[in-house]
Amino acid sequence: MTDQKDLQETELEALFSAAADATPLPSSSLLARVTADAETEIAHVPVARPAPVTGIFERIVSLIGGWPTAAGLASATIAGIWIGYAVPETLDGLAGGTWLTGSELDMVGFTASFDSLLGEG
Amino acid sequence: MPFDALNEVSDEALLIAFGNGDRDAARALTLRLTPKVMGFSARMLGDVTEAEDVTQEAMLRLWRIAPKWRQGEAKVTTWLYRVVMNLCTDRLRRKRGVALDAIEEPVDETPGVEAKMTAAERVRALEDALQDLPERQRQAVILRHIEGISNPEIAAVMDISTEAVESLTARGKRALSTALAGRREELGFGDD
Repeated sequence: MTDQKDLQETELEALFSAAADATPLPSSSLLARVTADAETEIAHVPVARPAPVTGIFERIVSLIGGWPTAAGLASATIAGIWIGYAVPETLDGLAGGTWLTGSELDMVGFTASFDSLLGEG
Repeated sequence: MPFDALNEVSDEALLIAFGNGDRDAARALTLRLTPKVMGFSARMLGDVTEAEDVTQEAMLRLWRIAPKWRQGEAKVTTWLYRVVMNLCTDRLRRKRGVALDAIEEPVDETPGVEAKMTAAERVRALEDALQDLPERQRQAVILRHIEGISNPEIAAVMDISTEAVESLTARGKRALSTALAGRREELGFGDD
């Protein structure tokens, strides 16, 4: 009967410990295969693009509502400058050649006379 | 980053780094996890060549899950052990059709008292006895007593309760003790 006695807990633990120490190690060829698979899979990973560098100019543009707004603002500015410097002939035409073509303006005619204010009464 | 610096990095952080295209993380994970996977699958299957195939497949699945890994949801090793367990189960089911005689090692003649086993032979005796356990008991015993994984983590791997893990390991150990009783002399335990 004694030779059929079950193993004790400690005896079994000794066997488990020996088995843990004898863990089969992966061969170099297996490690190479695993590494090659990782390389293949990494090639499919989408490349993360670096975040765009935002300078002060980009920040200002974003503050006013982005590039569409900036483009509209630039157009309006250029139009304003052009209107300011160019000779607006059509406006001259509308004014009947009186204001903008060099004819003298009689400012006296537009100002109130002080004479009436100076008089007693 | 120097490769040694990755030794302190968690499995999960490395996996996420790999998912973002970090080759050093892949190398660190390969060296860290492949031996664990290899050891578990070799003991489950009792066949090193098949264990290597399972290991490669499990690691491939790990690489593929990396970009989709959800942080904090599961431990990487728990996920990996579960994959290995399922792959081994599939292979064992396919092997069941093969006659046992075709896959068993030749049985040694009953050795005398003086014929003590070497350390490697003792391990082999344990592994033979493990192969005779029901599959779930074998999984639980290997994970708990050889891989050294905690009962709650084994429960997560096997998708059962901690109590069920304790029950499986207890029954597995009893069966192993009985199966090896007739070889206690060879194993060097005497017959006190």
